[in-house]
Amino acid sequence: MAKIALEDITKRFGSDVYAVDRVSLEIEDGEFMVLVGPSGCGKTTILRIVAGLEEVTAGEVYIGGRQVTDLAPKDRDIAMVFQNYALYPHMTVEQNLGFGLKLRRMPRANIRKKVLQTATTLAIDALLARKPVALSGGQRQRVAMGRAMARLPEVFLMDEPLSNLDAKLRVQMRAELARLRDRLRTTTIYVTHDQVEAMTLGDRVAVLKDGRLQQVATPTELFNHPANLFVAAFIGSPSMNLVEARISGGTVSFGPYSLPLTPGIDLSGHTGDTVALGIRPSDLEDAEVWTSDLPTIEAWVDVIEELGSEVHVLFTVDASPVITEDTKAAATAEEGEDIIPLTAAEGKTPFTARVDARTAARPGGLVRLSVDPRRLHFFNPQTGLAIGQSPDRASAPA
Amino acid sequence: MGDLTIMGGQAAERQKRRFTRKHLRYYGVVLAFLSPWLIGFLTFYLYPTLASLYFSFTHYDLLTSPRWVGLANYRFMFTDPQFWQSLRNTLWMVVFATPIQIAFAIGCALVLTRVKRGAGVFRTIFFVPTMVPAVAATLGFVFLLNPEGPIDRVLALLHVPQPLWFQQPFWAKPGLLLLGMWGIGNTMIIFLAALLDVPKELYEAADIEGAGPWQRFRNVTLPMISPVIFFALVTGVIYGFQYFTEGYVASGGDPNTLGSPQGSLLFYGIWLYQQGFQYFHMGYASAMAWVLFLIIMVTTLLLIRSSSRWVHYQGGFQ
Amino acid sequence: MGSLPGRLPIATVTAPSAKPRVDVTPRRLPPHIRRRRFLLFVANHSVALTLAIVFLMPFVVVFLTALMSRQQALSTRYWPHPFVWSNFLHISNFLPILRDGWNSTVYAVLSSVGVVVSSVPVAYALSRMRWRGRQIVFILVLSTLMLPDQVTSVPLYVIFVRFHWIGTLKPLIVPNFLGDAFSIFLLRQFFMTIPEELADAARVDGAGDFRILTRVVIPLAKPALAAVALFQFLYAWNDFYYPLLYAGNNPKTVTLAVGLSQLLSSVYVHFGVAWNILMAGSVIFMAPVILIFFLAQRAFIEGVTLTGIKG
Repeated sequence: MAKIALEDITKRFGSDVYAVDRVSLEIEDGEFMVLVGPSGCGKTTILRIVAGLEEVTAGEVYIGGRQVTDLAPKDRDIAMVFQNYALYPHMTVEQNLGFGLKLRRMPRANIRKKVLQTATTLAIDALLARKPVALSGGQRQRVAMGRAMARLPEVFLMDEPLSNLDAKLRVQMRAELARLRDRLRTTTIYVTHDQVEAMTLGDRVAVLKDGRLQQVATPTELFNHPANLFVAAFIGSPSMNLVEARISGGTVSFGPYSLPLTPGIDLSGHTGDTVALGIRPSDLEDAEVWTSDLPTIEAWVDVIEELGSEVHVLFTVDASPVITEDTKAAATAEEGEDIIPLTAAEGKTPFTARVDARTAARPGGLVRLSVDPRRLHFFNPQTGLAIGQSPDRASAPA
Repeated sequence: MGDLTIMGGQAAERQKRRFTRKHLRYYGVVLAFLSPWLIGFLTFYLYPTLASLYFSFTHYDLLTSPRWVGLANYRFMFTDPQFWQSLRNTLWMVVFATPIQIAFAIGCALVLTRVKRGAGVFRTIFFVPTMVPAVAATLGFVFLLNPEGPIDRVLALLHVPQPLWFQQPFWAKPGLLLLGMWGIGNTMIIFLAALLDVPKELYEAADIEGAGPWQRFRNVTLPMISPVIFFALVTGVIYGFQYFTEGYVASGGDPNTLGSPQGSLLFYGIWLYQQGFQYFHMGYASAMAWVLFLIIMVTTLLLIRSSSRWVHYQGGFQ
Repeated sequence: MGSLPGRLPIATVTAPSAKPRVDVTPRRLPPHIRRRRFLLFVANHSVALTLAIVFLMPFVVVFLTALMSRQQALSTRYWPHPFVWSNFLHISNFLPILRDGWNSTVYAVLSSVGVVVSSVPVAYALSRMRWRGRQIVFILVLSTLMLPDQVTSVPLYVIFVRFHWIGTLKPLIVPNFLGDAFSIFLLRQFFMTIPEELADAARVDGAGDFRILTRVVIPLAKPALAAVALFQFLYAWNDFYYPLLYAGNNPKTVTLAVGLSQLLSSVYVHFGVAWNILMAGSVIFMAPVILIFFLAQRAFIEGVTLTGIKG
């Protein structure tokens, strides 16, 4: 049983830099768990702690039920795929794949067989005699994976294995990884900063920020029920539209618009307060193309982005945007860069809607967008936590 | 029409001339900048190299002009016992001492990577002996290793047989080896930089696969520093073939007793020096010089050839 | 609620985003790991310490012996008793140390100046000017580094005899004013790192290559020039072969290196080994260079690694 349990893991560098801050996580046997978050969020550190390459400041790590916190990496029955592959440059592919097995004193004939098997699975059997310097990026990546697979460990650890590949190759390898995942069903922890990778590959995804766990859930759950502003803004592309809104009676109003609240949502405690309202671009649809009895909002179109399969309609709402530390963290590509939209200074919020490609919306024209009130998200702008969840979705207490 | 072409032709001529003049001036500047080296190269490198090749086929004692003797010098070499002795001694240095010194340099560099506190102080201490002039260092070791000197006294205390070092043919060259090991500071610094350059991830990958300390060294460290090992080997070998000063001083510094005891410190460079500048057999010395040059070139080429098999360059890897 | 295909349903867990921080008490490593870490620490530092002692010991022994009386140096005493500082003064009775030291200094200083002055323009031409044959000349420069001294020694000696320079310091100093391959190489590599824009700006202002060299490149290259001068000074001060060859026969031009080796073989030594004087001479000989090293420590180590790695 290769279940992994992280108990209150903390990693402190120096006297006050907490790379990982009391993270507890349970990963089931055979589960493909993705750790995702912006750079510096602690995901790689957690991976290295599970690998045994970093020491914890506090907390315990359990693999397969036994405590491994003090064990050396080689005693933990894990295999790791590094971001830069870390292939032994002086060894051939075959030797790279078989190195771990050789260290375990496996007889030569068995090693040959196992290596051949692994190489065939990954379609690199033609490259066995080559050295890493003669391989392309994608080939090296597969050798790195093969090296991890050849030993059939209990746990796979992957540190951004796809981020050094170019975009097209990355998409290809992602699909291959998914196929391997289903075939091998080994417990895996996968680290990435790319939320698309996280959503497509993970059985469950753990979102991290500043060393703290924000939410752990299936991709669908993360998408539909983000637990806080950070998760809401981080997951989903284009990102969720967030705007300041007011609750009164059974409606929520933002800018010139007013939408009814679904009966299941209880926001009575926030009447009169300003809350953060979130609407996913995919939850706004062109009401002329898809008629329904959903409430609509009308807006003047700023920009149209035609993607062929869909159209992004960008418009501005005359209400203050939600700009907190969380939303900034989610929006920045690199640490330290602040992307605050130009319109924010005027107290207006840019909105994006993902609509059917048959839309007639044009820049400068009017567009009527339908909104499903059941898919509205609400957050407390001070704490960032989601509010107004239906009773059967109570959030875990602090 | 004709006038135009003549006009055009003249313009072209003027263009070409203008171009050439500026061109010439530019190359003039280049030449001016190069001139010191050019003169030096022709006078102190090119001419002497060709001249010594010529001398090697002559008998020349500086008083009379060179007398052509064909391959006589080279033939004599084969029968000259001291030629072979000096070659053997020098080969001892190249084949035996140089690799040991390189291994020691790597070892010291490794130690420096393990010590966090005071690494800078240790590094300085390991490096300073390199700064000492060869003569002073050899003198120091002649004293240290003399039969009544400190080292032998310590060995006596430990009831270990005490070699006579520079007074004994068998132990004279090992004494020089110790001297060489004392001065590996500059080689060590280069290895230190190379060791620190090895990507940490390779060690981590090896750790995860279960490699112990020796396996890490053999499969990660050595291959990754192999370019530097190659550099140290080539330079060490070239230097070893030209070994002179330490051998000269260690045999007593006396021109009459060079190579003592019993020729154990008679290195190729020293025998050449004696032949050329003590006995003034300049033709023979030149012939020896060219043989040395050939040996060095062949050895270097062999090393370079073999390097493709064991030297791994990281370039283009990441 | 989500579930893995064919497996148990997975409960979702949500975590709040902010918790008040309570300081964590660090976890203590189990004893067997702490013990092993400690032993490794001790082992590493012991080896380092032993090596340090081994490397320092010759210095200590030489220095202490230099302060002993002649009999003491021959005896089994380890500590000078009394400290004969006068050895450093009396050494001139055995070895013309002032004259030899002066010769060494003249050779070292002048050759350093010469090397810098002559190598700079060559390095500039090889790195910042474009002309046909540049690569070939550079290879030629490098090839001179590979030529063994012995090949050129004999004809050079003959040349200097014809010039009547044997027995003077001229053969040692003058060739350094005609370029030095190692320095040219080092300076060329350094010059290549100077951005072309700076030279272009000067060119636009009407400067020719000479002015660019003197006004732009040289001021920027001061550390490299210092390194070159330093390396040459060290080389010349420690040089034995060439001073022996060209100036060794004339007592007036003997350098310290040759002088010391002659002292070893001289009468006084053969008639009762004056180790103390010898060691005093060695100390005096190495002192300037070691002093310079400590003053320019960082420059030296960087310079060595630069040539080593690029090689």
